[in-house]
Amino acid sequence: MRNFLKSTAAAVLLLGMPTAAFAEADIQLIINQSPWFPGFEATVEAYEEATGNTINIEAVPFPVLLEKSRNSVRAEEGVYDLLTINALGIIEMYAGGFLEAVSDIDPDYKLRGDISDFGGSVYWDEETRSIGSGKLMALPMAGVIQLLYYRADLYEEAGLEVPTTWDELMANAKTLHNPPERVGFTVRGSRQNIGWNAMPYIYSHGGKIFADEAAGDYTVTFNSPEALSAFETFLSFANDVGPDDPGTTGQAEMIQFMATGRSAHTIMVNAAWAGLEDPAKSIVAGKVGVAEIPSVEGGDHYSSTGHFIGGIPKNIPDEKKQAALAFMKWLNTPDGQRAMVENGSVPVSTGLSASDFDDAEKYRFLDATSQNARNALFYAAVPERNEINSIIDLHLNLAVVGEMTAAEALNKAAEEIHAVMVREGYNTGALPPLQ
Amino acid sequence: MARSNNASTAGIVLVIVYGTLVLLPFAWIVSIAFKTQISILMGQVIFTPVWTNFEELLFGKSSKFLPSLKNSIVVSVISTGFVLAISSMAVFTLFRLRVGRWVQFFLFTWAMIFHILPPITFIGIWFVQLLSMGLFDTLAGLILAETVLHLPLALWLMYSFIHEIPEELLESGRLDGCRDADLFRQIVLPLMRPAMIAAGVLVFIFIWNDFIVAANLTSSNTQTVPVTISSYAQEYDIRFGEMAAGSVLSIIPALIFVLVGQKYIIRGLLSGSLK
Amino acid sequence: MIGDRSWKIVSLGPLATLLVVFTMLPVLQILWMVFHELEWSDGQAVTTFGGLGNIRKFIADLFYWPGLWNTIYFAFFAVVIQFIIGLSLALAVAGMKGWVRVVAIFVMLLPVVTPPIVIGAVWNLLYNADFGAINLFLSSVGLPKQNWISSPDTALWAVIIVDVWHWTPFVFLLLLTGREGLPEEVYEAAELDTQNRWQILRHITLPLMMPVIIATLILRMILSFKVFDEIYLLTSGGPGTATEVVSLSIQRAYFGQDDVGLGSVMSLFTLSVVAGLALATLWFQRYMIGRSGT
Repeated sequence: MRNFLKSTAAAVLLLGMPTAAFAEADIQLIINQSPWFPGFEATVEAYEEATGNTINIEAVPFPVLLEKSRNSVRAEEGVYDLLTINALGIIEMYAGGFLEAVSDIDPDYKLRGDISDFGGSVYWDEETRSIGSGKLMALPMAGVIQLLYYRADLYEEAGLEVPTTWDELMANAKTLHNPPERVGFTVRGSRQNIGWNAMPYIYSHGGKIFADEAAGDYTVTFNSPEALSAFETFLSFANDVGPDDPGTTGQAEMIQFMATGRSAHTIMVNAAWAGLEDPAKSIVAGKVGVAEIPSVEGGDHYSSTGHFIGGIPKNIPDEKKQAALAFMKWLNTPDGQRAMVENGSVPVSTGLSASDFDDAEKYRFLDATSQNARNALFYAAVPERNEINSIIDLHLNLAVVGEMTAAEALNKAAEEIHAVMVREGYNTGALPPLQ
Repeated sequence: MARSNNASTAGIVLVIVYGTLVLLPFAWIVSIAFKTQISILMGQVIFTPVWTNFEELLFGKSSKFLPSLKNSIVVSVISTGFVLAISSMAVFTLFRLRVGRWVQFFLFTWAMIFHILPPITFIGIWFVQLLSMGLFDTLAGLILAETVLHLPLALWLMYSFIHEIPEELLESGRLDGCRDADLFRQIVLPLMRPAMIAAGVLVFIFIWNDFIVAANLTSSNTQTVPVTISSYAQEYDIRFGEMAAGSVLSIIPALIFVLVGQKYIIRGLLSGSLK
Repeated sequence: MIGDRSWKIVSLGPLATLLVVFTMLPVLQILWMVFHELEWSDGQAVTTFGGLGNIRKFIADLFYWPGLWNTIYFAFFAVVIQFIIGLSLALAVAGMKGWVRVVAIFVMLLPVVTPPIVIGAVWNLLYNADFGAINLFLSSVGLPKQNWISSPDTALWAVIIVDVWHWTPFVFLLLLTGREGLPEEVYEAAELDTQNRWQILRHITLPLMMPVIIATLILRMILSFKVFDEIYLLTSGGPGTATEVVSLSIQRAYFGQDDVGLGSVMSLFTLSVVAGLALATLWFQRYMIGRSGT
């Protein structure tokens, strides 16, 4: 593996692409503007150069990506041949039957061993309408996932060890908590996606949203004692070692706190890494380390994913489907992944390590990215996912700003989620309220 | 013209105080355009100005700013022209000539009802319609959409001014043998000019700033400035510098159009003060 | 020479055509979708009669109702403040001439030509408790820091301030046009009557400007129910539901949950609230005119 990666990219491209002689149809790819996009674009160019195929990129602002993709897949004939889909749209696209499964275009193709399945979210079982098994629906495109960020320079100064449990993390955060100059830790407390940030805490404590999604048991367990103790941990990070106003600390503010050296830790996306390493955007370039998100003592580790997949619509000509899949397959090969890394984008492989590259210092985020990708968590994989997430976000945020207690927030969220599941006719149930 | 009362001292003080309040946040936006991202994030007041944001915007490899500025100008100017032409004729016929009540209801009340609806409710349908007409991702399609979207606004503004035209003027025009078309051209149009220009300025600004409709009915070759600017507001990296630089650059042409409009307001008022 | 009948066709034809082609279908769809469910299966739309399902969902919605009250509160105070400032500015600038006037109008218009998404992003920076320029200023003069947008008590007012900053020029411009359109003769007559400035304003300027004032207020109210771009990057509706507004809920129903039925009920209900408020304003105007006439 390592030797394979180390061989020069061009040679690998020629060897690895026996089909390069047959030009594929031109395709139209829709994607969102993001920090990982320029690196992805460069990777696409490398593919075009190596194969002679053409991929036209339509890069749009993130807020309109899903709606434009929806409009296209619902039309008589699609405008786009390859869709960039993230957690907001994955289940909707599967359940609505808009995507041509990879298994149906090329029945022999299997997801490569080193590529993360992102919590099972690349598979969809039409019978049970759940992820984790069934057809391979799409191949992962960008492995956006959460990491633990810490200030490596401060760790060295204070002689701290990289934490593996929440307690250790809390102890380190308290050591480095020195307001107003610097806070120990920054949680994502704002109503936008607080739930996504809190899920690693909840799942690692043994909490869950539903009893057993894979088996079709949608009993709402979000107000379990495990979830409560997890959420209380989350709140103590927010209130004891965090900034004064955790209730509006969103992703932009977390990056701001880290980049300005005002926070010693945070848990946020790997896509923010490149910015922290850029001296024009950060005063801590070269001083930050990343690691696996902690768990409880001896518990499983989780990282909720915000990855993107490359979905191929049904309503396009067959040769376009072939061409789109050819590109995605290439992207998942070791040389495709290597190109992604070297161009500064986020890979989807779990097998990458900084030691595979000459400039190991520059790629020191890779090991943690691979590790967290192995812990990928994709929860509430039902078409009502976005509604459930907004219920969770609202109530967790209310607890962060002090309008509700932790138990009240979980009880109320569980009650509302339960109402949604009853309304939609799921096999569901509820736990007794927390006291 | 009500110009005999000269500006009062209180009025001047008010304009200066409020003008300062307007300028402070705006000056902050302008300063951001000249800062590095880290300087913005640190909230620095003293900083070394850089041109990188403008360079990225104007000459960046994948920057769409200049083409989108051209698209914005084309779409805003043409759509505003359509909106003014259609709404001024319609408002005159609807409210100063004899038409059935149901015509008034359908064309005016319906337009207002449509105006209250948020654009999110219909962009999906418009996408399908424009696609089937072959107008998706064309400037012509966007011009059509922006025209429809802002017609109600102009109708409403002109409605509030059309009643100010004295009926006697129209009557005497009719006695001179004017037909309806002549009444509109010779009497109504000159008198409506201030209202048309005010409506034109506002409609222009709304079209210039529209994001949600433009973003959904265009793609990279036909996108407008707000779409380009918002592509810098990324999930993991809000690039304030480029956004602010884009605003500064897009405000200049917008203000030129608006101020030229203002000039015409004054001239229009002078020519319309005969009444 | 165009005949009177052809003039009607020429003058109303384009408007009627555009309305029929581009607005009938969307409005009909909203009405239809109120009682229907739209599901997508195997890439095809399946519409089924849903009875009162969407309405029940709407009544139980977590965000819409707090959002509606916030929007009414927001619209009321934002529009009232914009009106007071906008009218004062219009009256002040109406007396100005030459370059002073041009500079004044130029400055006043700056906020309204700034892209709304940038307004949201930059005010978010300004309000930031730890890095924002406003708190920086407060602490430099020795005042305590405020959590402007993170405290549920102040967040909505923080949004109102941004809206006032953004949209006062709109009110100003319309009222300025309205003020300068008034015939000069009435003022000459008033001066002969030796009325003071306040009396002139109270008895002549305001009554004559009333149609424009009402039109402006109704328009601003409609637009504040549609406020979206600026609030999206400013607060996104949080903390809790402190700055949730109806347009965010409608956006969430359509884009987030892809629930056209729920979005349609929300849109229709919001439409009737706005239309009701607009009619009430018009009725109030008639009532006042009727009273002052007797």
